[in-house]
Amino acid sequence: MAQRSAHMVVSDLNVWYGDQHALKNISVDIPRRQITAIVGPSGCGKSTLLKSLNRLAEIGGARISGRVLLDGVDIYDPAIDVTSIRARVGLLAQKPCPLPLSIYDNVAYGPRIHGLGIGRLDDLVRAYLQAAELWDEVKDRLKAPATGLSLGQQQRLCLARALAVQPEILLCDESTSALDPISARAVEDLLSGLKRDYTVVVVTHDLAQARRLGDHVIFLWLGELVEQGPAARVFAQPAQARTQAYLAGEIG
Amino acid sequence: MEITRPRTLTDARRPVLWWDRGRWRRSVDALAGRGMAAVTLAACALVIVIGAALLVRAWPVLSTRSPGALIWSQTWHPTQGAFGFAPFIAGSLIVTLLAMVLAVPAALFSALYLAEYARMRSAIKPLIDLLASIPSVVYGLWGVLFIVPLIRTTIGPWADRTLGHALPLFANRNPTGYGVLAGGIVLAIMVYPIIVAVTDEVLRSVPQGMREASLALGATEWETTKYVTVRKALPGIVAAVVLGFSRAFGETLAVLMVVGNVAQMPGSLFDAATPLPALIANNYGEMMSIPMFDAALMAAALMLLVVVLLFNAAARLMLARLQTESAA
Amino acid sequence: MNRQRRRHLEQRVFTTIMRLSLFLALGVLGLILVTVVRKGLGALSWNMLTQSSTGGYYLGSDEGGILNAILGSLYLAAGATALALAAGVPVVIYLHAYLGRSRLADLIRLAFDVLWGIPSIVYGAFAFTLMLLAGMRASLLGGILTLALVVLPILVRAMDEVVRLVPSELRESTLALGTTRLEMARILLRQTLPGLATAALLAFGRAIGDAAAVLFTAGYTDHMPDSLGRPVASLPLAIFFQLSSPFPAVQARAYASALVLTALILAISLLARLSMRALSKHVVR
Repeated sequence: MAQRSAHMVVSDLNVWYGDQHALKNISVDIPRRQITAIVGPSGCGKSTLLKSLNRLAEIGGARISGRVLLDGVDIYDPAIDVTSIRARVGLLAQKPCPLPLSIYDNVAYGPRIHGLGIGRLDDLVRAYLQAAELWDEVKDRLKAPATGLSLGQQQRLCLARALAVQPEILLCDESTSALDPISARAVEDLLSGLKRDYTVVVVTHDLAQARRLGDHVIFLWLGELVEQGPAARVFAQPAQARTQAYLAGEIG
Repeated sequence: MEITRPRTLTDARRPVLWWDRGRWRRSVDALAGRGMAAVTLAACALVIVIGAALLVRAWPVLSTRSPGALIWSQTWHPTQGAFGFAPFIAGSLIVTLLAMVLAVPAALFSALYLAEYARMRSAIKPLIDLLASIPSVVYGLWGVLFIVPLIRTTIGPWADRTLGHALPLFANRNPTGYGVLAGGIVLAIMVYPIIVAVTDEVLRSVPQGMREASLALGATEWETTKYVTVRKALPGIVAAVVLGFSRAFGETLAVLMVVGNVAQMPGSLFDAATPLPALIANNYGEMMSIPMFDAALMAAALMLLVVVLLFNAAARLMLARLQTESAA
Repeated sequence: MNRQRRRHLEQRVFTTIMRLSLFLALGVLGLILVTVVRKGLGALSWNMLTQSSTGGYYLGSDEGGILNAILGSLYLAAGATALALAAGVPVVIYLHAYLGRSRLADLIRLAFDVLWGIPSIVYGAFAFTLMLLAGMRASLLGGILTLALVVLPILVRAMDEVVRLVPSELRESTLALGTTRLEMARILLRQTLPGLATAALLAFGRAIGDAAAVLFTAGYTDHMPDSLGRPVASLPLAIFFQLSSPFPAVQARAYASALVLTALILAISLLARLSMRALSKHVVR
């Protein structure tokens, strides 16, 4: 397997919510331009790990120690501006959450804030709505409120919105679990197509989805890293007994 | 009395005591229900009853003068039967609007801080509620002790010197300090806590997912507040302000104690005035001795009622719509 | 300056404005309390608390006190709260045990919200109208009835909020046992008793401080409250009349009366807050 430097390197990450030690000494690599799937039973810290990658965990009152290197730079370095980190590492949440704005303004929100694409916002909005395969459905009602869309459409809108800030990495927190099977499949296909241009990290409790999407796998159990590696290897020949048991459905 | 346990379901239907306890309980239940419904209905009807009673008492004045004459006329001579409410309506409007101008920005910023940023929220919120529980007369007393002298000695002369020549609104012809400005300031402090409380509640009802989505896109906390949270909560914020206006419009004693109580159209912030509630409170003693005076005062009370009802109902409907929207 | 710095500067500026506005409000609260305490403490004496006033309420001399007003306010508030409870509890039971979630329940709540917003002077004027009709004169009873009207919407709303917090599972499982709605209501009430007590305390505190409603309907007197049919003194009106007096000595007593009233209300608020917390330990969650 070709050695490329990892896009993000997590070393000795510990996260506490009050007294609860949610993540214990996590050290993982996020490879470039691949889909990394973080799997594990509910409550094992998958979402916490994900949200530590774009510094969103601290919003919920988490205490964090350790380093997370993005292309060699620690994102938790106090000298670094948090908002610029979040512009480079985007997030697609579990529940589609359109902003209380029109469809157009939802997608344009990020670029406007960061001053991207001034003067060509129309093209930008169109490009990203097309990337999310939503353009044809909404092109006649761009000024309509985003809440009028169906749940599947809203999630695709959130994807377009996240991509519009032109991140390098996209984090997906169980992004299809709130959707009906057809919409979920549509979003999943979009995510799998993204890896040509973006590094994607997907959290999922659906092992079948992880198998379909994942190039690289991280398996967490109760806040600890059990195993990580290329998906082909981990799914076929897991090195740890616990991974084997989880994949077989015996635990979790 | 022996209670035999029924052996089959059909047995259970037959009464096992000499009187059917089940029917007794159900009858009590139904009777109580009807009684409580009656009490509830009576209470709800109270609004209409109050309006009707005031209307009836005010009828002698309302029926003999056109609404236009009552509202726009500035002549107030009860002994001559002249009841022009314009000075009092103007007094109410000016004092209330001034209070809103002073209170609303402070209240909105405070509520934003309390809901979105404050770490010591559980310590600060009770203090705001404390402001709300101080009785009206104590606010009036404090106004007389602190605000009125402040206006008399400092603010009044200063405004007259600097702005009074250009803007008649700030001209100071009243050296006592009792006037619209004093009333507005006291009222602003009284109305601040209710605007904060309602706005705070509305802001907290904005789903956290929206804030996180905005932050995840790289917006600062203030940008999130400005473009997302406030946007979503806007109907509720407007409702809070409307509610505050309604409360301020009806406030009686505190304003009465500092506003000067002269039956004139206020031309400047420093003029004395008499808002509608003060009119009623000041004159209830003489109301029975002058013909039709009592009807006029009841008409004033009716005006108060109508204004407050309209604003309150509007605010409540706005809040209700906000709730059904966020539940959807 | 570049965009990043401008955005963060804007955040700092507005956060400071927000903090300042809160500070200002809390500062005013402190100022009010300090003023009332300082001025009031100076004029307060044991006599004031234990004697009734002498010599007419405008020209009160240095003797006498405000005991009549203190007791009058307490009786007015207690009577009003009791009446409001008698009317309000059935309403809350009806809403929660008989109606549940329905359009009618929403309309009833809207009606009470509207009642909540009516200024107390309007209630006073209305009650005065009725009292004239009934041939009643300004009296303790009149004051109690009027204050009960003022306080009823506040009480209903506070109790409604408390009963709403009861999880619907409790309601459903009780009904599943075959209880009638009325019996279920008893369980609801027992469950929410701390909250109801707090609501009653809130209403009591409101009733003590209200002047506009009792102005017409309770009158004023120098005598101690002795019968329902006679006028009764109240603390807010005592303060108002003392302050309006031309004698500085009497005005000074207004500050002391204000201190007593404020202390009473603060004590009730504190009690309400503590009782909510303390009694909540025993409820089912």
